[in-house]
Amino acid sequence: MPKKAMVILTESMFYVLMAFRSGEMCGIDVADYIEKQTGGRIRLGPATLYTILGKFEKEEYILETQVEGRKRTYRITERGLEAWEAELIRLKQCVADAEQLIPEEGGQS
Amino acid sequence: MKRQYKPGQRIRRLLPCPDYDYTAMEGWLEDMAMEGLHMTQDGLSVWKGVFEYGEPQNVAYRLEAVQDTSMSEPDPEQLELGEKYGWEYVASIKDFFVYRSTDPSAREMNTDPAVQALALSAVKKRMGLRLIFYIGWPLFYMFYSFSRHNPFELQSFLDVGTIYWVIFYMMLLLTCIIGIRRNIASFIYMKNIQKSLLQAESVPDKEGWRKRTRGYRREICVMLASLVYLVWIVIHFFFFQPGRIPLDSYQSTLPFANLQDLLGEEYGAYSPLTLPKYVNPLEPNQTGPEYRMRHVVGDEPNTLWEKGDLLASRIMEYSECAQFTKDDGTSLQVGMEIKYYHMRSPELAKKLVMELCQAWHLTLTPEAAADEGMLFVHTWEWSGYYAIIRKGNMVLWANYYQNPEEMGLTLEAWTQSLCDSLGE
Repeated sequence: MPKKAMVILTESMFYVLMAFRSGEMCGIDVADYIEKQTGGRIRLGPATLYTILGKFEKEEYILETQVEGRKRTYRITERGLEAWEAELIRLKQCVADAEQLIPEEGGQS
Repeated sequence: MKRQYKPGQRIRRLLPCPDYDYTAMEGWLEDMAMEGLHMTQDGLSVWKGVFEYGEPQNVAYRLEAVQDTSMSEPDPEQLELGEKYGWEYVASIKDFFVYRSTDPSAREMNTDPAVQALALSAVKKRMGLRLIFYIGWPLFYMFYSFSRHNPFELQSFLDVGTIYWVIFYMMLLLTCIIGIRRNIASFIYMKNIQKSLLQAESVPDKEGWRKRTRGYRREICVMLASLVYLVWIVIHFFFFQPGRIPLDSYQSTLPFANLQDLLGEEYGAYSPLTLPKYVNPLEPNQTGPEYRMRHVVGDEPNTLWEKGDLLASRIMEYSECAQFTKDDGTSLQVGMEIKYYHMRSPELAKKLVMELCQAWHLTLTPEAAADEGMLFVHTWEWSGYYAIIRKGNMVLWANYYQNPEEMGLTLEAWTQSLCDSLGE
């Protein structure tokens, strides 16, 4: 199941990688970034965020760069970037497929 | 009537649900908080929860899957994230860390069901391993036992008592079945939860936890009863064997010959021999006659115990130590230990003989096993003569030592006399 989960990134996972794309961050910064970026639509729960960070570190999508007290800072890796871009392409394709359908539906109605 | 507690009073409660049912556990802890019972820091174990009485409050509890079993508490980063969003870490229980929040607007711990399912994978994997262990160890035990000896051996039944031993095995089996059932249930529960989370279906609700976990306490009661019984059996076996009585106060007739019967008057006047209470095994004289005599007759010479059982009408353990002194002053010291069983049938007697031979690493041919009489006789230089004898339903195991060794009975004479005396 973990393998399967990583084939397609969930929305939360996608945004976490996106956050790291903008620079090195710690977990709390990631949560704040996502909340801000999505206008409060996505508010990551602490357990969700911690699980994603752990999983990404294991999959080498992110790398720990600094530990300061309880705070850990990570940066995205090449592998993480590839995963994010692959997901982006998949999402774009989804949107393109949907948009193709909308004019047809408009024409029919 | 509802019990009254003082503010700050500590209260212990048994867990009402299995530790793997995390939604039931959350439901229970939240119900307790509504009654004013708030879990103390690190106040949770697999058996019980410790609470402190205070104001009844609406508290949200969340159990989060432990990712790394080597950690006794959450990672600092995990703690930091929790605290930032209003969740306080309280305790850990087996596969979960417990958090709570009194803030109704606190952000939910899990906001992505697919990620939560991912977190539960580690727990499911551990449950799977536990299940393999629980199924594996009884199989291993059976294989190991049967390869070495029969675990249902007659001697264990006779030593402990048939009824006690049968109940012991039944309790053991029941505990094993409950353990396996619980592990299967935990694995299936976790698998279903993961499936529900991935398919965005609802997970088992907290409100219905009481109904869902109704059978749990019954299981715990059975397991506790088994445990108490197992402990009782061990204590009973090691500390409460039938009391030994001195030979001179024994009123009934012995079913076998004693030392006086065996040696007669030829070796002089009979007198019971008292051995020193303690022989230090580190003393240089540990191979001397006195040490060897004690080895044969045990710590309580000139005593016996007797009992009956479902499989044997009479079981005896007999130990005698005596000195025969002639008029010219020469003396012979003799020690003998006997285990006697009057079995309920000749078949049981035959089986017991086979077991005794196996226990003493003696090879008994099928022909010898079928015969009656002196089935096995042997002498060991260090500890004297040994014999295993069967006559009808009667089985006798005996060990005999005499000092000086050149005086007294020969091995053949001793076994023949003992055999002839059986059942007379």
